[in-house]
Amino acid sequence: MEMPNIKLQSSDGETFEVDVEIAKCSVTIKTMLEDLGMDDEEEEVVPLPNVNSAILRKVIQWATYHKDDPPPPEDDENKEKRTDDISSWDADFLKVDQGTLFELILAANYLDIKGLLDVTCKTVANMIKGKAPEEIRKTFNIKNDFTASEEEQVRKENEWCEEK
Amino acid sequence: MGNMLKNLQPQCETSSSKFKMKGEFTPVYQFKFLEPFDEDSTNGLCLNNVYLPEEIIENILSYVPPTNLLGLTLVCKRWCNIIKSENFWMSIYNRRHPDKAKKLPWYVFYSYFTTDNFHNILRNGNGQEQYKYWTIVKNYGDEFKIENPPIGSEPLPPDVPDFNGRTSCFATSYQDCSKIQEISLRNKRLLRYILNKFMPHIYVSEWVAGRFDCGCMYKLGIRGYSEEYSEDMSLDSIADSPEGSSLMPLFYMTKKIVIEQWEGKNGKSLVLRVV
Repeated sequence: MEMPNIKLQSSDGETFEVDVEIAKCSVTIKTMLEDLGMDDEEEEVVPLPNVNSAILRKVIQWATYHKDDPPPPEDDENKEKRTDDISSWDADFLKVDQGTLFELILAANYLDIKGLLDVTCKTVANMIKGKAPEEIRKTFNIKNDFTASEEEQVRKENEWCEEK
Repeated sequence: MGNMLKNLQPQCETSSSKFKMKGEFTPVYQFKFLEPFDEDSTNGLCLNNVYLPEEIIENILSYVPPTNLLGLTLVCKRWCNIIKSENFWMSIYNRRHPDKAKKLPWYVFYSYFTTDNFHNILRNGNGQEQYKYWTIVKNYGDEFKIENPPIGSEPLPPDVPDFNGRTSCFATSYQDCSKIQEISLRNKRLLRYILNKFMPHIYVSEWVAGRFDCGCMYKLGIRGYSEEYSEDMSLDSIADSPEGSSLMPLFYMTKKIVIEQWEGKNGKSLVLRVV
């Protein structure tokens, strides 16, 4: 049986023809199709005003690779095991500049693709892990908005917590 | 392990509480800044000039190992507020456990995720760090030995979290052997505060096994002493029965198992729960 395609249109006007089943890994698109009854119309175009073509291309690439993944389990004893690991394909896929990575996070959030959101967030978490506050501020261009005395107060409270 | 937070029952602190200890820990549920915190500020939400909604920053931080998180409170006020909030830790808990997290202050979760204190307050329970933390009180017969893997019984299960993958164990001899571990809360203000305020169960557990050819009796006991217990009280005098001691413990519990001859092939876990 041939899978029907739908057309996704990026914010900059480019259209992508995608297998419906792949597009439906986005809960946002899935809901849109169901609500609008667009399921069997072939020539329908879904506008995605929050995603540009470069990012949409990446998202489709990710979704195509992961199309046969089992759905995320609701309640699972082994949840802990899957929190930190990133598959090597995903790691390669996410070797992109910070700007693209953050755009992918925003797209995954908007399109509601849990798998992509988790793996992109984990990637940023790995960039944070093990770094000193000053390094992190520099990496992400964050301002130190503590006054000296506030910083001292946080430091002191943290010291207490470290006594365990 | 998954059940620990179920056992934490927030209770009112009463002056009659026999466990009451002097606590200097004043936790701040949400950090109160000297200058009012500007909620509209995007500092800490903009990563390299890309604005990410707060729930995404939360999601990112929730994947950082818990032991790293306290250091991140010093990055900026926004991150500090996120990390020192209960919702943030509840979502970490819920991702890892099938049961729902109770509403508890952030530092309870922090302590839970970064220490073994609520799982087993005993350290080095199977000799993986030799005799570290232990004082040997009686050592008769052929004395204590650390065997890796145990020689006289079946191997211990490899997947018990306490073992950290190392299945070493203490072996005793044909006569009385005993050892004692002092767990001092003196320099653990956070743990002390949590014990005082929430009165969680305290778990003490050890794994024991008998020899193939020799019966044995094993006894695990715990005694709690108040802070007045003076520095110069020797461990030996505590190791004696509490009735003979001048100092009465606040609580006292023991549990015993007897492994008959020829029965002792498999390791057993012995767990004491102080309520």
